[in-house]
Amino acid sequence: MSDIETSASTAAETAREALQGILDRMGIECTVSAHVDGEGQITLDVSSDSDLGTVIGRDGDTLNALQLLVSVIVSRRHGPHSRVVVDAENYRARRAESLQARAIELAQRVKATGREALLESLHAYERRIIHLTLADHPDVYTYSEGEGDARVLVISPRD
Amino acid sequence: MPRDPSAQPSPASADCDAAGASDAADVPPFEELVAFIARQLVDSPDDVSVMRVEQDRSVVYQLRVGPEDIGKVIGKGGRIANALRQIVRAASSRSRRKCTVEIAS
Repeated sequence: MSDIETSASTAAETAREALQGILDRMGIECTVSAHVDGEGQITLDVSSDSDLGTVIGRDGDTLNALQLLVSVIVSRRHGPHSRVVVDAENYRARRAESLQARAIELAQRVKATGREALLESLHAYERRIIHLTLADHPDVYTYSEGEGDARVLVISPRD
Repeated sequence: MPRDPSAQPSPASADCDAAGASDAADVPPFEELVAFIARQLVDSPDDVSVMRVEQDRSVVYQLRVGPEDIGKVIGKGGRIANALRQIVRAASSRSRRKCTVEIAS
């Protein structure tokens, strides 16, 4: 193993232990597995027979909170190089698909009405999914405005 | 016909106590959850302590860390503190008493 691979798998083990430790103390029965992709991204996958809804939370709120804390713990211990994603039974992919579908639906409405549509309370990576989905759309363009939690994504008709 | 006094619901009934007791039982202590996370975020894990404060309808976990570590458990714009709150809220979601986290200074 190269040094980079060794350090990525050590970081992945730190991440896995931190997440399993948190979930155990939340009283959630589950197992966490970790894998590292070619770019060094650590993905932690939570599987649970009974408590998956608690692990995910509303719109992924709990998953995102877990991901933030585990990311900070890993970067404190191993430096800021490893991106950490916390997932549970492909929630991230399912959420991305539903955001893409919503983007296309809203774009059609914007085209039909000629009026802007707003998407509020999305995370940065969720806005990114919408921007990318509509990047080549012939009839609408997208931008974001506002700061922090008040940041809003706007889908606007092209002239 | 005289009313049977035992059929009267008594205002200070044992029900309240029973509900209180089962509440305490079905809210597992999350001190260790908060402390486990906080110890991994700070430079001085030995200075981390968590106190459980019972209130009528909620339980507050007061997190105390060393003075140099306060920023590390709050985070930019309160991101870390909010993530801690979200996790404790999720962990307590099945009980009737809501749990939250305060950072004591």
